[in-house]
Order: sequence, then C-alpha cells, then structure tokens
Amino acid sequence: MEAENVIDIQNLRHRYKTHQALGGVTFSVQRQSIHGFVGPNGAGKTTTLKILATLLRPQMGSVGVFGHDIFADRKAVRRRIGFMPDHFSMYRQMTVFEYLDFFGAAYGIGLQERDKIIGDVLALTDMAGRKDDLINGLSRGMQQRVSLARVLVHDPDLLLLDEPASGLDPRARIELMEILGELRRLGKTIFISSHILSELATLCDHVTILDRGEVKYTGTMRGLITTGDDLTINYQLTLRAEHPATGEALSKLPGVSRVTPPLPNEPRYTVTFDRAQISPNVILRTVLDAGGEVVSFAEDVKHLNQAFMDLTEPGVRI
Amino acid sequence: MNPALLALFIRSLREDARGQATYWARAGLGCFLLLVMAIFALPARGISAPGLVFFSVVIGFQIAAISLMGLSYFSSAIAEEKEEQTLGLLRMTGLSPLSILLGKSTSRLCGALLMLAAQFPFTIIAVTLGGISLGQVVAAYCAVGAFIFLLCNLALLGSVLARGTAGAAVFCLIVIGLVLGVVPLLNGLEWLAVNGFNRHLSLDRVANAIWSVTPIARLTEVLETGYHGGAVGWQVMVNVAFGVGCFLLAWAVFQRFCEREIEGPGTATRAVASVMVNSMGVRLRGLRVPRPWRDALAWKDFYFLWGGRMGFIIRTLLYGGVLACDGWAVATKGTAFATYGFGVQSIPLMPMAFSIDLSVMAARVFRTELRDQTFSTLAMLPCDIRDIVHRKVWGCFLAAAPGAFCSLGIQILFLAFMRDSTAAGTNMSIHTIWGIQVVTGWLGKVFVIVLIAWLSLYMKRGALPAGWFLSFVASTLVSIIGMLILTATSFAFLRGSPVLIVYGLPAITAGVGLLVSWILYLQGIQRLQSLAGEE
Repeated sequence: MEAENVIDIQNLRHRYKTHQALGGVTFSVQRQSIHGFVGPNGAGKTTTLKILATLLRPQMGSVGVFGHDIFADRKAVRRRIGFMPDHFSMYRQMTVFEYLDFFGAAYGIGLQERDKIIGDVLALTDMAGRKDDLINGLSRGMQQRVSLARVLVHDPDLLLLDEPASGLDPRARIELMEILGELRRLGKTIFISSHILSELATLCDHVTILDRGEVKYTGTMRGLITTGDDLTINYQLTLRAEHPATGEALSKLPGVSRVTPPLPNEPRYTVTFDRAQISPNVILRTVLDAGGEVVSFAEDVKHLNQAFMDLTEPGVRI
Repeated sequence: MNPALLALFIRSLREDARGQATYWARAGLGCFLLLVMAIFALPARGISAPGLVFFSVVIGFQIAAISLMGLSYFSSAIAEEKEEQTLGLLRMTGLSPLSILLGKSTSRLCGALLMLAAQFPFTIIAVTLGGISLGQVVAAYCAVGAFIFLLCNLALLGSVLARGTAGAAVFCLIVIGLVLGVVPLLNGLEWLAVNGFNRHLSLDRVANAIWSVTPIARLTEVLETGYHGGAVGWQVMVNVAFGVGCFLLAWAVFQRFCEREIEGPGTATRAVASVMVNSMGVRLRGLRVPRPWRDALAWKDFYFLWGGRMGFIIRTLLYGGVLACDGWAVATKGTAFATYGFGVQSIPLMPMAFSIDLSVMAARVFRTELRDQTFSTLAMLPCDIRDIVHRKVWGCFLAAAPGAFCSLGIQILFLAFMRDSTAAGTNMSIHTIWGIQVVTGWLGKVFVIVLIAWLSLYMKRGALPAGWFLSFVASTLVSIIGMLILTATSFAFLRGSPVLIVYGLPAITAGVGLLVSWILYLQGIQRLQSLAGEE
C-alpha cells in the first residue's frame, strides 16, 4: 500500500548564486487532493515545483514523491508526475494531435493505447474539434488546454501546475478550474501554484503559503480561512430587520461565548460558540423561535486574500 | 548630439560593456595575438620575412574573425529590438528612425573598430621582425577598417529588412556570397563566350573590377613584398561608399519594414503570416507526417526541425546531383580526368557544403529547444539527458545521411579511381596520404559540430560563426605548430622520414580534437541539465 502523502518535503533548502530561494521548507500533499501553493513573487514556489518535477536537484533536505526519492528514483517519479511550467513549452509547428502523439510515443505508450488516451484527453480538455489545428494558430487559452492535455497523456497520478491560469481571460480561467475539478474526481492529485487566490479558495482543499523561502502555513483551506480557534467557531447571522430579542436569546444559550451586537441599520450578528457544546442548528432554531427573520446564517470565514496578507510580509526580498 | 540619440548610444555601449561575449571575444583575440607573437618570436629558421608572415597570419585571422563573428554582432542592431519587441517603445520616446539607426549601429561599429585599434600596437612588431613596412601595416588596417564599416552597414540594412538576427545574418551572407560568387560566374561566362562563340564580352574585366573591391584582393596587393602604394586604396573608397549607401537605404526603408514590429506581435497580419508560414512548413515537410517512430525524439527532429522527407529528398538531390555531375564528367571526358580521378570537381565543394549543413544542424539542434523553452518538457521524460542528446543527434544523422553518404562516397571513389603513385620526395603512397587526410577531415568535422553545439548552449546567437572561428584558430595554430616542427626537424619529411608529418601530426591533432570533443560533450550534458532547471 502506498503512502497517504503523495509529496513529502522535509527541510528543503536551495540557494542560487545571489540569494537563498528555499530556507528549510517542510510540507506534505495528501493523495487525491487539490493542494494550492501560494506566495508572493520570489517566494520560492517555482523553485519548489522544479525540484518536484526533477528538473532541479535540491541542495539540502529530502523530497519524496509517491515514496520515491526524487533524484535516486528519478525515472520512476517522472512516469507518475506531469509538470506544466509557467511558460508555454510547445512545439508550435505541430498540430495538436501531433504534439500529443509525440509525447505519448516519447513516454513509450503503444499506438492503439495512445489513440485512445489522446481521444480521452482531447475530450476532457474540449479540444477534440481542434486536433488538426496548428498549435501556433491557437489562442492562449487553447494553448493552455493543449499544454494540460500534454501533461495528461501519460496518465500521471500527480499534476504539478505552475501558474496554469496566468494570462487567461475569465472564461478560460473558469473552464480550466472546471477541468481541474474533473481531474480530481478522476483520482488525480493536483499541486497548483497560482496568484489568483479567489479561485484557489474554491478549488483547493489544502494550501501551503510560502514567503521568502519559508512555509508560513500548510494545512487545510478551511483551517486557513476560518476565523475561530481550535475550540470556538464564529458564525455570521443576518436578519431582515433589527430584532433585540434574538440577541438576548443567543446570549443565554450555553456554549455561546459572545454575540457581537449589530451596527445601526445593519442587523448582522457575529456569534462565537464552543463547537463541542453546541451546534449551529441549535443556534438557528433559537433565532427562529425568538422570532428573528433570517436572511443568512453561515460560518464566518476570511477571504483568502486577507489570510494571505496576514501571513506574508510586505515589500520585496532584497 | 541629440540627447535621446546620446541616451540610446550610451545604452548600447552599456549593453555591450555588460555582455560577457564582448570580453570573451577580446580575450580570445588577445590570446591569439600573444600566441602568434610568441611563436614568431622563436628563432624561425627557414622563414624569410617573418614580420610579413606574422602580419599576414594576424590580418588573415582578423578578416575571418570579423566576417564570421561580425555577422551576428552587427546583424542584431535593429533585429534584437524587434525580437524583444522594444522597437515600439524606442519610437514612443520620439527618436527618429535616423537616430535609432545611428544609435544602434555606431556603438557596434565603435566596438569593432576599437577591438581592431587595440591590436594595432602589437602588430607594429611585425615591422621590427622585418619584411614589412609601416605603410603596408597602415594600408592593411585601412582595408580591414573599410570592410568593417561596409559589413556593419550591410548588416544594419539586413537588420531592418529581416524579422530577426538570423534573417539579417542570412541576408548579409547572401549578399557577400553573391558578390564573391559573381566573379567566377563572370569569368566562366567570358570563357564560354570566347571558347564557344569566339566573342569577347569583356566580362572578365567586370569580374576583376568586382574582385578588386574585396578586402582579400586589397590585402593580397598590400602584403606583397615591395608595396609602395598609398594607405587608402580603391577598395577602401568603394567599401566606405557602399557602407554609406547601405545606411541610407536602411534609413529609407526603416519605416516600411519596422512598422509591423512596432504594431506588436499580436496583430492580425502577423498571426496570419505566421499561420501561412507554418502551413507552408507543414507542406514542405512532406505530404503527410507519419505517426511518431519508436524513437519519438528522432522523429520530431527529423520532421519538424530538419524538413522531414521533403528535406531528405532535397538533400539527396543536391548532394547526389553533384555526385552525378562528377560521374558524367568522368564518363564524357574520359582519360584526361582519369588522371585526377572521380570526384575531382566535387571534392572541394561537397565536404564544404556538408560541413555547412552539419554546422547549421549543430547550431540549431539544442538552441531551438532552449529558445522555445521546450527543453524542460523533454527533460521531464523518463530518461536521462544523455539519452535525449543521443536521440536528437540520431535525428540529425538521419537528416544528414544523404550528405554524409555522398561526401564519404565521393572520397572513397576518388581513392578508388585515383592512380596511386609516390608523393614527390618521399616513399609514401598518395593513397595513404589521401586516406589519412580523409580520416582527419571527418574527425575535424566531429570536433567542429560538437564545438558549435556546445557553444549554442551558451550563446543565444552566433554559435555557428563562433564555432567556425574557433576551429579556424585551432587549425591555424596546428598549422603553425606543424610548420615549426617541420623547421625544427630540418625538413624531416623531405629527408625520407615522413612518419612524424604524415602519421604523427594528424594522429596528435585528431587525438587532441577527440579529447576536447569528449570533454565538451560531457560538459554539455551538465549544461543541458542545468538549463532544463533554469527554463
């Protein structure tokens, strides 16, 4: 049985001539998850991805992928990963089919199997109708799809995607995210670096935040954006109109530690309660019983942008 | 000077000053000069007029260096702005086309002339060594200077007309090739007119007039013993006049040819043109590209880099055609040609054409992957970089097979048809000497292509001329060392002891060449590995 962690990085360090790119990075990526990898420019994201893609040899630390050492078992690792770099790495004088066929053959896939796989990946990326088009004539979004199709040709278990949505228009970005969602459903593990935080927040279940070569956060997305702590949880309650009785009823509930009163003309409460003692359902029922007209009731979460800003330092690395 | 023009000029000088290539070129030239000087400072028995020989070697070397390296250096003047899409930004600053042309070309011209001027004091030593006068040295430098001026402005014109540096360099090569090629063509036509139709067209005079404006003709004249002419000859005036003409033409067509670049790469015209070019490329590769072979990398390079089946057919026709011409000559001319043997006409031509073909392949085989940032995806394949290199080289070999087969074939046929005899003053068979030359020639090709491929991993442009240039330096040094050995052994060759010259020297040369090639190959693998991580 294979390890639960697809990627296991321990104390990874890498230095370029002029600066330390990675200063002891440690994190892991779980199987069949979509793991976001975010950080400011120069944080070390691309260096980490290149090391994971076996293109760069780490200077210190250990990097395991599917339990294999990244450099000792380089060939075994390469068969199971697909890397999409942050630039278009394509043979533009080929047609879409020729391009995918070439990579299929280069990975040693037989002719018949190749035909089937190429058909599948073209269908998945919605490029079946353009398979005979020259890559050079395709739009950026289309080229990005072809690039993703190329990554999928040898059916890797782990996809390493470096800024796959950069430069794409909103429609192309949304469509790309839908494809990634579909890939997760197909059992792939996706490790994605991106600057578009709003999309990562909805797509990823895990996230690692890197700043100046150091991990600032690694864990679940929920753990990052939730506003509570280990014991308590915050919920936002919005009513149609101000209703003082609701606030009083909530304050008296056992397990509720705090109810933030509404602002004038804004009947919104923040309820903080102990998740072990009381459930959100009880709170909602109490509000309804008290006669409050509920517009919305949801967990209070931070925007990923805010979490990112809180964790990373301002300015550029010198 | 216009402040904007001055800013552009300073920027160009700064870029040159920051670029490593400039320093490597200067260091290389300096080392070569010192080496040649050291060699000629040794007691050179048997060499009359050592100063003249020394200066001839240095000036010949400079002409070769300028012609080869200057092509890529000068051709990038405007083309690099086009490639980096910064020409539009320059125009937005209010710089006129004249200012851009002056700013971009003058710095390069200054750099090249300064490099030449820096060597001048060293070459004055030739006067001390004897056999050459100061007037001859000055006249030779004037000839080279005028040629640099012409080349710079011709390349500037090419740079304006072409889309990129490679196109501009090709334009210059074609123009120079046409000028040099028209001389034998006119002489041939005159010979045909006189011998075939008994008419004098005076085309040989035109050919002589054209030849007289080349730096080779001028240097031949200047470096003759007892030259007492002026420093500035006809060649200097014509070269400078043509240089000015090229500059004016570049200025005249600048707006027309650079407008599309200023519009940016995303314009519809460019997109359509690019698709058309690529569609033509697809057609040129052959009627239909087959499915990838088991060796997919070789397949990719064969079909998408070297022209595929169509390229193979064209190469076969061209090389095979030359071979067929030789066969026809032997068949029709009979015994007269049998004296020399089959291949006498194509022996000088075919290996040279094949060397050019191979050199172009060596310069492109990795550079295109690095330029298009596709090498990292190849490096991700489940194989070593070494395997990738071997497979790519195999793709080149397949494409180059017609040239290799015909070149080797013609050399073997030449040996087979050539009447064997003993070389003058020795007991060595002509066949043996020729056979050794063929083998060393092929080993030399291996060295040159490995060197060019290795240089292409470090140089964005100009690996081919730089490789040729370095090979030229290496072969010159080997010749000089050989000459010294020859004199040091008191002409052992002529005394009937040819082992050293016929076997020893080629063996040492080939051994050193192969050793250096092996080192470059190993280092190149490491370089590719690191480049894959840098993309």
